[in-house]
Amino acid sequence: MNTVKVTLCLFFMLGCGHAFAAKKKPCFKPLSSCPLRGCAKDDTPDAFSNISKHNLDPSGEVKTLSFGDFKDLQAQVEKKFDGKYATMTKPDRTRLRNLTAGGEKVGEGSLVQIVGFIAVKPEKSKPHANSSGESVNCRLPGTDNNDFHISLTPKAGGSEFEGIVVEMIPQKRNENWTTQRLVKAEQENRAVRVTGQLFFDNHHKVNNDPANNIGNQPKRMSLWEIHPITEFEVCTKSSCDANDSSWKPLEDLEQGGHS
Amino acid sequence: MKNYTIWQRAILVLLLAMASAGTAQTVSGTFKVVCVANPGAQDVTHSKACLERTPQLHFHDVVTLAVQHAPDVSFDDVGEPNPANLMLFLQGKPLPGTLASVGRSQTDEDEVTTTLLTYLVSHDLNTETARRNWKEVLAAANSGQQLTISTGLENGPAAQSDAKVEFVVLRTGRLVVWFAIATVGLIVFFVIAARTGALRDKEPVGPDAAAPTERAFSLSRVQMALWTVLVLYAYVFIWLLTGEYKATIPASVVGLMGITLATFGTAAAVDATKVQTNKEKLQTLTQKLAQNPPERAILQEEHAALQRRTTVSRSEGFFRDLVTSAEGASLHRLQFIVWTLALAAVFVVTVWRTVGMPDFDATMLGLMGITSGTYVGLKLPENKK
Repeated sequence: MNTVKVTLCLFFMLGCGHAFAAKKKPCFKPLSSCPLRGCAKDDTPDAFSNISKHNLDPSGEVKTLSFGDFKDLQAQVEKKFDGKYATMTKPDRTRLRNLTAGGEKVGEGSLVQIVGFIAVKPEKSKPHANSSGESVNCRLPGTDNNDFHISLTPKAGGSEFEGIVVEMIPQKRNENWTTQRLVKAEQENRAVRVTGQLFFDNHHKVNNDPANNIGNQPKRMSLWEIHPITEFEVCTKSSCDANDSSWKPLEDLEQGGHS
Repeated sequence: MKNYTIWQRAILVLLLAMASAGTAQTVSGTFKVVCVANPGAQDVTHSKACLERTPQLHFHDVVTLAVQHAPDVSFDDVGEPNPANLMLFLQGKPLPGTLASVGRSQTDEDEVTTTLLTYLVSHDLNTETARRNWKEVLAAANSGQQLTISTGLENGPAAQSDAKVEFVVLRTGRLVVWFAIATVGLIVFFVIAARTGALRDKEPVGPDAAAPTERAFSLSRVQMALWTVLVLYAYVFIWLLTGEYKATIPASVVGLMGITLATFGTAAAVDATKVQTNKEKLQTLTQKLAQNPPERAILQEEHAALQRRTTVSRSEGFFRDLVTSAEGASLHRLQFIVWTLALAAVFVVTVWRTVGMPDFDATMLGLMGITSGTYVGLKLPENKK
């Protein structure tokens, strides 16, 4: 593909520098040999971020957080780091563990859950795999090798701008967690209960203003994510609260017809 | 594990060692340098040990950094990282020879530990990496910008750092001392040059220039004196500004001194040989003249010319003496002078800018050797001035 672009650029003498920018190749193949640090070098800030994204065994009892808690956690980070968190060292990430939500101590690495709805706005918003290849997954392409990116909002029919991001990682992912099932839950406006590790995605910026959409940033009101997701459940009634017994695992949801 | 032969194991170990040697070690995410700190602070958490103003740093100063790390990292000598491996970084460049000593360490409520690491800012130029890094650091310091200060492993990047320093390369007080020493030294040098025959041709004394101060200046002696003075001045300059007195003279400068010495020695030997040959010719001519031959007038003229070539001639001024031989101006002398001056200029500018002597590469030294060789080689047919 790149060869075609380069040929066209040369032929038409177009100023398309991006065609010459070599796409980074996968650093490990296959996914099973991809280390926790992904493509990052050992002991670098990126390595610690990638390692954290792989934590499928978060600590403590599960705490239920609200969207307000996610907003509040974002504010605590802004204050603690004075807005300077683009690069986070290991001691910085250690500081992320000592925050509070709803009067309880939580932070990166805590086991949390949230109830919400899969965002439907803006248009074309739907759960998807980051299939272009990310450092955390050794830049391997394809759905099976990448995280599923899901936007959750507090209300049904909500917009990504008012929500948060939760992610399913490809390592040990339930084979029945498919984007088709996620899209089905979205289209049916079902409430979902997501459980997993609380993670702070410091590499991005808050993008919560539809009037000033930051192009390359995921739309969300907090950089706190549930990542990786360890349980994803769908409400079987018209509405469910966090402690309801009517939650059904995503893998048991009937597969949708299209993705 | 499979049963490998001892050779297979050896090759495997070698390959693993080579692979690990090629990988840059890093602690860039393990540590965070918060600030330049007061080494005597009692509470080092929450930036309480940080100096309020951006500190000034000089060569040979002691600087303390407050470094944050997670609780699973300790600075004991047993585990990794060993503090002895953590170097001082300025402007992202590791400075070999600067190793940490560990001070007070405290853990805050976030379970983040802050440890004080103290460094002596030594100007160690023993390796090519050190020279290159110091050159870049001093260029940045001389441009007036504040430098980022950090820590890290030699082959890896610097740890993330918010700390800055103002690096002062040329300290006024010490510069004044150096200028004073240099001025006195120059005066002494000029007195010696003007009042003695140290930089002039020596033997044999002729009728034209009997006193040492009347004799012509010797190019090889002047060149040797120039390099001796430059290297000596540079050495004192570096010592005064950096406090370093060891290993500040690179091998190539020693080589350069060697070339100047060899040039002087060979030139002197050439002169001595020529004098000896001319003396023998003179003796033969004298014997012929004693027999009163018919061509006496011609022989007498030849005898006088030969006598002039055999003895030191009178000085016609410093520059004229250096550029000319008995036959007048010569291109190889001029080439020798120009190339010496060019290298001397590079030497002076580099010492001033980098507070270190330049490490001339083999090509440059070779070129100096060639010009010196040409000078000495073409001195053979040249008549003594």
